[in-house]
Amino acid sequence: MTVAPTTAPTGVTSSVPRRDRTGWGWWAATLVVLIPAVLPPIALAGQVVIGGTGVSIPVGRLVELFVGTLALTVAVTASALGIGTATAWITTRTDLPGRRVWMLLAALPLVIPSYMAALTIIGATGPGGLVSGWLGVVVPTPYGFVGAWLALSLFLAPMAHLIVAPGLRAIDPATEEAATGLGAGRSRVFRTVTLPQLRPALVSAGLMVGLYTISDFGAVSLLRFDTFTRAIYTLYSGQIDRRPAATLSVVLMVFAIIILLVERRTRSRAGYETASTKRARAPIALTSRQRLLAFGFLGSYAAVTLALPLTVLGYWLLRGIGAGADVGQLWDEIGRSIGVSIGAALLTVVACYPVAMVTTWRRRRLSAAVDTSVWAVYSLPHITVGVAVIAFALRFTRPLYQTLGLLLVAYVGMFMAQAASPVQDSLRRANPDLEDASRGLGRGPLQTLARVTVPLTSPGIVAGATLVFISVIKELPATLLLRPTGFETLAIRIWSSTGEGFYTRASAASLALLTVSIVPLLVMTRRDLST
Amino acid sequence: MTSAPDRLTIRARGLTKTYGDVVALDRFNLDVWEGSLLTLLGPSGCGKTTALRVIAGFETAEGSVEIRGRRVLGPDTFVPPEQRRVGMVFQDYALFPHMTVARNVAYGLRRGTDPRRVGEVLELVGLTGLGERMPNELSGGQQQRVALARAMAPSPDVIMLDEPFSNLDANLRDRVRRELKVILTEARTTAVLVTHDQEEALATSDLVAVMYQGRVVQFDTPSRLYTAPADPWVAEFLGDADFLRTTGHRGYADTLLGRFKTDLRGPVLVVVRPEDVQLSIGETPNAVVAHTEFFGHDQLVTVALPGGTRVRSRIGPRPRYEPGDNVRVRALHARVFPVRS
Repeated sequence: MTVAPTTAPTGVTSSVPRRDRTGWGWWAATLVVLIPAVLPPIALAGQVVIGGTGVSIPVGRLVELFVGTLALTVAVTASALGIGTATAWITTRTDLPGRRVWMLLAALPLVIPSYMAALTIIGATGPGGLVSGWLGVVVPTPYGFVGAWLALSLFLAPMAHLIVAPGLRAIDPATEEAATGLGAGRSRVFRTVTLPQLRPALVSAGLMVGLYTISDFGAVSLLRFDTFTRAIYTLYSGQIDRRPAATLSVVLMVFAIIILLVERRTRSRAGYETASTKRARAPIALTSRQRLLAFGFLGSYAAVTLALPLTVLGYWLLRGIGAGADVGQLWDEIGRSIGVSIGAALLTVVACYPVAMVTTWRRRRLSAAVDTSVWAVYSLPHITVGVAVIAFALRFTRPLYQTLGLLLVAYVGMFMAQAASPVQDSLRRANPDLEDASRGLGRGPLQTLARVTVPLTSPGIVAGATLVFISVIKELPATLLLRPTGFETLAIRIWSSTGEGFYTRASAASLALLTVSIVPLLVMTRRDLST
Repeated sequence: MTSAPDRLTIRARGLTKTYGDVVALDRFNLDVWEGSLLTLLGPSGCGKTTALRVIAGFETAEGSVEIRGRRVLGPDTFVPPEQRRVGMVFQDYALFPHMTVARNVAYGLRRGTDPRRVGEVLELVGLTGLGERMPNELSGGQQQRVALARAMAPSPDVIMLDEPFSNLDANLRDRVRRELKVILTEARTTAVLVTHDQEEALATSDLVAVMYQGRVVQFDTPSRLYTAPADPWVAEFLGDADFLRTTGHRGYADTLLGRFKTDLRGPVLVVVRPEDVQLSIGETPNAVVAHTEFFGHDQLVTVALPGGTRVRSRIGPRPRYEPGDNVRVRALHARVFPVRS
C-alpha cells in the first residue's frame, strides 16, 4: 500500500480544541470563593476614593515614607539578587563537591520569617546580646535602614536563588559552547551569552524580591525603619480615624499590583516552557583556589542565615532559663498556630479547586481574569489585606469582626494562588481522556471528580496544602490585625516579645515555630530534589 | 445478546460540527448494525475521532444520534456520556493510573454486579492473573487489552475504539489486530473502530465508512471499496492507483491499456490498480520500462507510455524487467470516472 501508516498517533484530538470541561457549576463555585478574596481590597479602594482620606497625612511625611520604602526596596533587591545569582550559579554550573547539599542550604533561609531575622540581628547585637556575651564587645544594634536591609537581603536571597537557578539550567549549553569555540573566554561568555539569556529570570527574581520588600512588616517594624507597612500599622493602631491607614494601604496595594503585572509580563515573554534542557552539560571545573572561594562564600552565607539564627535563639533561651526567667507556657500558642494553619490549608485547597479547574482548561478571557485576580490578592501586602478585610467586615458583616472565621477567610484569599498553582500543574498533567473514560463507563460528573480527578491531582493538593500551612503559620501582619482578642499565635508571640525586649520568650517561640514549620518543608524539598 | 441481523445499534444523521474555521463534521451520517464491526477510515483531520466522540457524548454537535432506537442527541436532547451505554477504548488507553487492573475493569460495573465479572472479562482478553498489577507495570499490548476489557465489562451496546493500534509496535500490530477481531467476534459485540490505516481497515472490518473532510464519501464492504471505489480520491486513498485521461465515446473509454466499458461521454478518468496491469514481451511493444522495485514475492514495474504517462504494474517475481525494456502493457480491469471540473 502506498500511504504508509504514520507511526505517531494522529487524530483530531491534538489539532482541535477540547470540549469545555468546566460546567457552570465550577464557575459558580469559583465566584463563591473569589468574592470574599477580591471584594475587600476593591471595597477599600472605593471607600478611599468616595469617603475621602480622613485626617490628611502631611506631604512631607508621605515623601519620607515613599523615599524610605523605595530606597530599601532598591537596596534589598540589588543585594539579594547578587547573593542569589551567585549561589545559583555555583550550585548549578560548577563541579563544587556537595552541590545538592549547598543547593538546599541556599534555599533553606526562606523558612525564616523576617521578624525572626530581625530578632536574630537584635539578639546578636547590643548590650547583653550574643556578641557582647561571648566577645565582651558591645556592637550597637543596627536599627533603621541598615538593619532592615541586612535582614531582608540575607533572607530574601533564597527567593532569587530559586528563580535564577532554573533559568540557568534552561540555557542551552550549546550556545555557551559555541561562544567558547569562537574564542570567547569564560567571563566574556558569561557577559555576552549567559547573562542576556538569564535576564528574564533576573528581572522576575528582582521583581519578586521587590514585592516582598515593600510588603514586609516584621523586619521593618522590629528594626524600626519607617516604610509604608510600618506607617500603616502605626496609623491603624494609634488612631480612631482609620481612613489614613486605609489611604496608605490603597497606595501600597497599587504599587504591589504594578510590580505583579510587570513581573507577569516578563515571565510570559521569557517563555520558560520552551526552554527544556537539551542535554547534560559538563560542569565548570573550579581550580582549587576558586573552590576555596566558593566554599567560603557559601559557607559564610549559610553561617549567617542558618547557624547564626539558631545560635542566637539557643543563646537567649539558655541564658533566660539559666537566669530563671519566665520562658512562658507555649503549648497554647503552638496549638493555635498549628490548628489555624491546618484549618486554613484545608479550606484553601478546597476553595482553590474550582479556581484551578476554570483556569486550567481553557485560555479564555474569563479564565485569565480569574487567574490574575487570584494572583493579585496573593501579591497584596498582608497588612493591607488586613486593613481591607476589617473595613469590609465592619461595614457589611459586622458579626464576623474579630472572629476566627474572618481570619480564616482572609487567609484563604491571601494564599489561594499558592494552593492553586500546584493543583493547576497536576490538572494539566492529568490526561483528560481519563475523565471521559470515567464518564463513558457510566459515572456522572461528581463521581468522576471524586474517583478520578481528585485522586489524580492529589500530589498537587498535598503540595498546595503544605505551602499554605507553612505560609499561614509564619504570617504576621494580617493575623495581628484580624485575630480575635487574646488569640496569640507563635508568630505574634515572637513579634510582640521581641518588641518588648523579652528575647528569651521570643527565642523559645521562634524555635517552636521553626520546628513545626520545617518538617513539611523538608518533606517537600526532598520530593523536589528526587524528581 | 439476541441478535437480529438487521437491527440498528447506531443511527447518526446530519452531524455537523465546526471549530472556528475547521469543519470537523459536515452532515455526517452513519448506520451501525448490531453485531457488526465497522471502521471509520480517513486521513488525519477528517473528523473521524470527532464523530466517535460525538456519538459517545464527549462532545456535542448539530444533528441527531440514536443508540438502539433511543435518541441521545437531537435538537433538544443531550444524554450525558454516562447514560449512553457506549464503551470507549481511547487511543492512549486512558487507564486510571492510580488503580489496579482489576479496579480499572470493575470501574464501570454497577453496584451489585457479580464480582466474578472482572475475572470473566480479563479471561476473555487473555489477561487472567494480572488483575493486581498497576497499569504502568504492563506492556503496551497488555494495556490495550485492559482498556478493551474495561470497556466491555459493563456490556455496553457498542464499543468504540479510537486508533487502537497506533501506539503499538508495527510487528505487534498485526497480532493484536487479529486477537481483537477474535475477542469482539466471540463476544458478539457491536464495534466501531477509527483508523487512518487502510490495510487495518480492510483486514479488520465487516463494513468501512471512508471519511473525507467531515463526511462519509463511501460506505461499503472492504472488497467493494477496493474494487469499486466511489470516486478517484477513494481509489487512491485505499491503495495504489494510476490515472489515465481519455474520453468516453459510444459506451467505451479507449486508453493505451485497452478499452473499458462506460456509459459516460466526454472527458473521463480511468483508474487502474497495479495488480490489474499486465506486462508481456514479444508482442508489439507500446511502453518502455522506466523503473523497477523488487520485493521478492512480487515486483513493481513502472512503465512509461508514449506521451509520458507512467503506469505501475505489480507482477510476480519472474520474469525480471530492466529499465529500457520494451514491453506490451494492458489492464484487465479499470474504473472509469467522470472528470469533475
